[in-house]
Amino acid sequence: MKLWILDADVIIDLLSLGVFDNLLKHCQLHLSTTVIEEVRFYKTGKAKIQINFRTDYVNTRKVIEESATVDDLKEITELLPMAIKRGIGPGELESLAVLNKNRNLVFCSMDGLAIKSLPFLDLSQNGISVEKLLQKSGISTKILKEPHMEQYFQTKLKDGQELKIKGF
Amino acid sequence: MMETHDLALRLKKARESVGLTLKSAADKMGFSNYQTLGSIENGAREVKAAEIIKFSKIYYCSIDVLIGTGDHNDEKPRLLWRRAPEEHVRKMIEKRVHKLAEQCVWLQEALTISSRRKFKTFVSDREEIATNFKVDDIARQARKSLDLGRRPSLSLKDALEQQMGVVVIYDALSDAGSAASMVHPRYGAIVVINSNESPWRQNYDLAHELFHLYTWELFTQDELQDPVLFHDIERKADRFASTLLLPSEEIQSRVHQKLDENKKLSKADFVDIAREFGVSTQALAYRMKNANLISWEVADRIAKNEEVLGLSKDRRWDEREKAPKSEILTDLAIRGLRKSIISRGKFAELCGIDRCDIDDFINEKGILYNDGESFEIMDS
Repeated sequence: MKLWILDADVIIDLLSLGVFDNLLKHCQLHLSTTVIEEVRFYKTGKAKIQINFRTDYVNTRKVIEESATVDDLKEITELLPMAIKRGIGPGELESLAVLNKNRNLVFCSMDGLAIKSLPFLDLSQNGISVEKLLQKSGISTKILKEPHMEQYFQTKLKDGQELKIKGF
Repeated sequence: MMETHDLALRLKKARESVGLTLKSAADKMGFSNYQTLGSIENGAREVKAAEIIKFSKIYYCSIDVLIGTGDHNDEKPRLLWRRAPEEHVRKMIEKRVHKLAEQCVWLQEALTISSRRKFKTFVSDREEIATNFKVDDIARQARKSLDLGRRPSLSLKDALEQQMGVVVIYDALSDAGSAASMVHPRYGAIVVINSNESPWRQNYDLAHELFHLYTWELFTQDELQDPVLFHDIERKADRFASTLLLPSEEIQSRVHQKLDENKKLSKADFVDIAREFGVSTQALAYRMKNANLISWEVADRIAKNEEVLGLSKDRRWDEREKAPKSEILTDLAIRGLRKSIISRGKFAELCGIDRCDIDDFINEKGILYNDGESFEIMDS
């Protein structure tokens, strides 16, 4: 079974779509500590639902918490170019640090910059779009957003690869 | 292994730079007691990456600096405070403003925006603000050059941000202090407004700070330490704000209209006119006195009248509905997200929203996830 590590926005959207719990039945999900802290609300229609993700999912061992060390963080900040470092969010950064350390994981993200970062860490093969993750898990859902799509993921990955080649 | 001792020192230095005590920093970090942070700063307890990330957030300091892969920026921006808060609060706000300004400049560079409009002043000599009449002249000139029209408060913020490149930052200053401003060689002109204030108070503060921006180069920081000079400048900034937001001919015209309708001017009329011009009833009363429409005694009585103040609050409750945001920062963040120069997490941070609100926020602004189709522009 593949081991997935998810970005905060992916979890929020899957909760909003009502498929997150279903996904847990199909695969093992790993989340970085910072991402766990970032999931505070999700939406159903216009309603904003508060969630205590740690209590509901981490403490009940439905998902596995992954904490990067300061050295893990240091390692990726030395690999990423300044322009990416300055723009990346905290949850994405720790997830990348965990991924860099544990290459058995596959990172599911809908964030353009996080996806663009993967080639700089030689982790292009360790990324997956939301669309593909759901397909692999046999979950069908309503219409997905553009950043969920495989095409979006591949475009951003290609952008990252090109930037790396250019010595960005 | 990272040198624990060095990391501990850097964390301590970062905490002190924002004026946080061990206890208040520990509270913000969510530690059950301050001894935990004490152990970290003594190098006796290992720090997790997630904690470093949290430290960087509460200390307004980059992760690179904390883990030793970046240089610490010791620059202290010179913010001119209208009424400075206590030192520890001031330090934190100035650090936060500094960080936002840095991100603003970085985003402009990353988006290859050649330069946002540079703030330009037309006040070059102290003589130009020597008297009240001269200050009034400056205000009229500003209203004209910014094209603020007949109700200046309605367009002042947009004019400052769009025409003059002023970054207006809204910060919950609570009762700690009032507005502040600076003109920085790298960051440009910045105004900090208390987001907890009423909209009409914010308008007035914005106009007041504009006077400081215009006269920024006229006084040195050392000179401004002189309370007599500072008080005089503050008084003039108030005068400027009042004249800018309340054009005398417009006030007169509105008052006469009311008199034509009702034969007298009631307390409720005062509230209505103040609302129309986006100012407080006190500001309107004193302006009417300066325009010789009412006597000083009447102005003072209105300004201090509890019923008028209550009426004003009740009638104007709807003006408080939406928290204002810095348009320049929001615009840069949106463009940065669209081009994947910043991540969604950073976007939420910059716009001060929760991550689950990102898409609704984007939809409200009517942008796409990418630049979309290009259109050909015809030669004119």
